[in-house]
Amino acid sequence: MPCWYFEKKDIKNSPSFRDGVDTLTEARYRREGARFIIDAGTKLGLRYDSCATGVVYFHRFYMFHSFKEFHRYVTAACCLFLAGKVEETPKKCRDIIKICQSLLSPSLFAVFGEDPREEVMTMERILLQTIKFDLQIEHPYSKVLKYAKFVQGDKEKIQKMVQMAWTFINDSMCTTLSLQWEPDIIATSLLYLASRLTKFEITDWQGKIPGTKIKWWDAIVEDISMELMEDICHQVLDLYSPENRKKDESPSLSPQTPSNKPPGGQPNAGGTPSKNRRAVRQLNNFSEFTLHLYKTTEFLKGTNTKAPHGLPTFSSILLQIDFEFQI
Amino acid sequence: MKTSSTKYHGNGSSHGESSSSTTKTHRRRDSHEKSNYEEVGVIGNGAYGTVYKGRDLKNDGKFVAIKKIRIQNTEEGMPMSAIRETSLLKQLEKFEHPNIVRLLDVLHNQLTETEIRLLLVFEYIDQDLATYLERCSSPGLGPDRIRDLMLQLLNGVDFLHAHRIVHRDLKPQNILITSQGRLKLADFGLARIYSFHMQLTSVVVTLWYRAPEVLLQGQYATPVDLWSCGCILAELYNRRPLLCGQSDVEQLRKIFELIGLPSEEEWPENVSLPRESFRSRPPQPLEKYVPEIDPIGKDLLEKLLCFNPHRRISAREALNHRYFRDDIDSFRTSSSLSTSETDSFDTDGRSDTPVSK
Repeated sequence: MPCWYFEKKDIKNSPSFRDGVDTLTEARYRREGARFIIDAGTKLGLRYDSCATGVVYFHRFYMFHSFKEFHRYVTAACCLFLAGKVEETPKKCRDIIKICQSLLSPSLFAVFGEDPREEVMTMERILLQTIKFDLQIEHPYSKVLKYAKFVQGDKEKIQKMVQMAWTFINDSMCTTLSLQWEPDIIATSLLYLASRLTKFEITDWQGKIPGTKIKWWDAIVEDISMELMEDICHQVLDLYSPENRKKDESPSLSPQTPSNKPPGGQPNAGGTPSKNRRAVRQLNNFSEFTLHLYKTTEFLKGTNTKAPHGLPTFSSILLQIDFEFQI
Repeated sequence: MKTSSTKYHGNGSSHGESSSSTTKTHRRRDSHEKSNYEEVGVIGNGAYGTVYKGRDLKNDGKFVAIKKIRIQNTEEGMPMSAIRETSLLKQLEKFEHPNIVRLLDVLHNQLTETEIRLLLVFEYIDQDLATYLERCSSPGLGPDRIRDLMLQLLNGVDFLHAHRIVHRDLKPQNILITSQGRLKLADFGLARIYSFHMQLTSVVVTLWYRAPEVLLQGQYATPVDLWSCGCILAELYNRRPLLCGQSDVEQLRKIFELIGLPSEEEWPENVSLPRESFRSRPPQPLEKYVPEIDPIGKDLLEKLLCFNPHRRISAREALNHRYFRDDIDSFRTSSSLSTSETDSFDTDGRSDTPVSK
């Protein structure tokens, strides 16, 4: 039985890397593939979890094959096709191809060949063989909602925090985090990030033993270190660095920030239209906020708050953000 | 793969990632997968396809059981049901339950435009419960061994039911017994793939372990497995099947001969067979059918062979039955109040492990 979690060094030394694709390019291909799946899935009306499942297949697939061998958009289309079937929200192959065509420029769509349907069908067999029918995937989304239920405090603040954590999970789909850590660890870390950024300190939760000194995350996940959580947050925050943003092809209609597009849904935004609208507004604010975040990150890189490894420390970034931006 | 390779050639190689390299990879992968396993013989022809004995060449030629299932390829590729069932099996495998046969690998290949072959590779266990009972020398299994096997059987069934899987075809032929005496369930979880995409075969499916609601209404919920467990419990004592009907109606008649014809109120609605087509008869004492069973075992057996599926004991409840409680048992054996006959047999050359010749 294959294990689907990898060490960072294995991810770096991927089949694509060994095939001459440099690390930055591979990271870009992964981002583009993931966003493509989310964009196409959302247009098809697929739920966020179907999209996320497709993205995880995509990342796993390229741990066994090179981006030079299989084009990212063909793989992405097939991952979405398969995820739809697994999550019992099937979409017709023909419809998926139509959406792909609408999202890609003609020259990019040409990678689907003369018979795109057959291309996706062939790909399905290779994909199934590669991921060995390990198709049931858990995502951090449901975990974050579960944890949020345990948190006690101002309802509106909690909602805001969960909203932001949700957006970070959306964005984390573009990273290889799903290849490194279980969904509960990713969810906890990104909830931590959201809690820091929304300045909502989680001090009380259901089942907390009065007088205990343990932190909320210790109550959720066993043995999760601050170092690990910060590393995970960094991997998501790195997405917002300007060099990452500039280079990406944008197959979708407008060059949006990734955080601007939650795949197909909000976290329990209450269900009423007005509340949903408010949630969307918050997200729009948030993308401005992330823009600010890049600047801050960039700014910090040039200051003396550097950690020994040359990058600004996590806390220093958060500190800086607190000063610069109020959301 | 042939169609696709030709197609890949047709693509031309003008777009960045060259197509010809893709073709090569497909071929390499395909042959690579096949060479992992070498078939050495046929284990059996089931209703749903053939099971082969094979060697895992990557694993020192260790024996494996390879189940081949043909499924119809659709317009939309691999059918959703096959994908979901197979991935559920893989998911289940993560628990490594001791009473479930290990699924080692899943492969598939395209046979024709319209047919896919799915290969499920399982651990190889050369003995099933039917063979185990055949090999068992007279006077049969001791009560402790029967209880241990029953406990393992119900543990496996409870695990499946907890994961919302109904076995639907429990019988001695797909209950495996390892050389260490561990019981493992096989052949579950694929029932829905089969029923959607089953090839018509002439193999006769045994009716002997079928619950009455299956025979009457074709209903398959978790209680059907508990009925089968009841039939198997009796068989562990008798070393021959309990109820051997040759047709649905005959099987039902035999069931009612044993448990009595259910009352009008118990008879389910919307059944093609009216209650009147069976002779009214009272239930028979179970010890007439299973002479060696003790009163506590009999109580469990009665609860397993309950006509009404809603009132039939569940796997979880059965595991909590006092039949499996050690304290009761020590009382039972030490006092020799009730079943002195079987107890004396037990000390009298009854083997807990059948002698395999």
